Amino acid sequence: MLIACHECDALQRISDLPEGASARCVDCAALLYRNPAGDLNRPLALMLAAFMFYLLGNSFPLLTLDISGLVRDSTLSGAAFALYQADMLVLAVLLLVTAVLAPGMIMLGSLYVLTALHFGLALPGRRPMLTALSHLRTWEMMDVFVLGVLVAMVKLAADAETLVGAGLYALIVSVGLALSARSYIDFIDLWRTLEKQRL
Amino acid sequence: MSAEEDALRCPRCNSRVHSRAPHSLARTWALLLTAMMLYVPANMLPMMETTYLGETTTDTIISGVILFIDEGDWLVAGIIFGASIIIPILKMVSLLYLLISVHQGSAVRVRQRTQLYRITELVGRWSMVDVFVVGLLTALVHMGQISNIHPGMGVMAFAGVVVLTMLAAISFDSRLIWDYSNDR
Repeated sequence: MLIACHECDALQRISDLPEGASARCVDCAALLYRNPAGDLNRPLALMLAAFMFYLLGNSFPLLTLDISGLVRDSTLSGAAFALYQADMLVLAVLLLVTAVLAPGMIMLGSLYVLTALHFGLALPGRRPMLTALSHLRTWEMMDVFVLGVLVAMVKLAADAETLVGAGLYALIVSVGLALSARSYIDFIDLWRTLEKQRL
Repeated sequence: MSAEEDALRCPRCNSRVHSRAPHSLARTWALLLTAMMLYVPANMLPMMETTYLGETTTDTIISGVILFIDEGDWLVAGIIFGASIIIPILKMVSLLYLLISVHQGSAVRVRQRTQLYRITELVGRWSMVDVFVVGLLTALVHMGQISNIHPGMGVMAFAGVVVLTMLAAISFDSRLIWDYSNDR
């Protein structure tokens, strides 16, 4: 396979890689291509699980706060709504996009493409979807958000009692599963599989 | 090598093909300079207004870090300082250095500069931590008379800095670094 490095434009040939091996650019050591172990079964299952925990993470409260008897909790979208109510619409949208929409769309989009490729289905829009996934990845920040919740917890712990909610646990698991799923995915590998199917 | 090439399309994914990203340097400069300008109000304007039993205190990024240190939360102070001060500054300085090095046609340290670019791109998103912290605290601490947290304009400016530096890193075509390398 002839490839031009996306970071330094070095033209080079990649021979067939054994499973699990990765190819790095000869000039700048950028990761060019990986041959993930196993078929698409594993990332599909992991991504599905990640999505389910993502749904749970968005349905249940992240943190419960108790200040002198006054109790309040918040879900992810609740935090976005609170920002909107505080006249910070831009931030509300930013939070919604990076912590809810982008991760969700990436997971759904990945499931769509992986299902099509794994089961050999000629689902419409596979190519635009795969292209869109590469672009969406920049704006996915669920893991950064989780860190933010933990920091907020520490900040509050001084003056109030904080309780970790089911939503937070679910998000943490979702982040872990999605990360694991991605380790079994390589975009070039997916594109080549798509081409080979010729459906 | 014209920047306004008629759109060649990839036969596989139908994305537009360019030898180099059109107007990469101009766009990166515009985004970077705007981000740098926004970084000043981001640090000077308050991130949060905390009202506790009638008293209102405001916190900027730095005063927030100092508060954490005062309470002995060195780890969290380090995280916020790293994500809101160190990372944005390093990102902006790195992009500045990369832009200038390409403008000067520098042929040295090509590999290292590519690695610098790579790190800059990867690490940038973590600066959003403080924005999320403020958002969450605003949502949670809404206890009527006792305690309330309200976001300040500083957080808007800071979110702008993070987004703009991310866009700047994306718009910078790292292949330009190699165009002046003596080995090519």
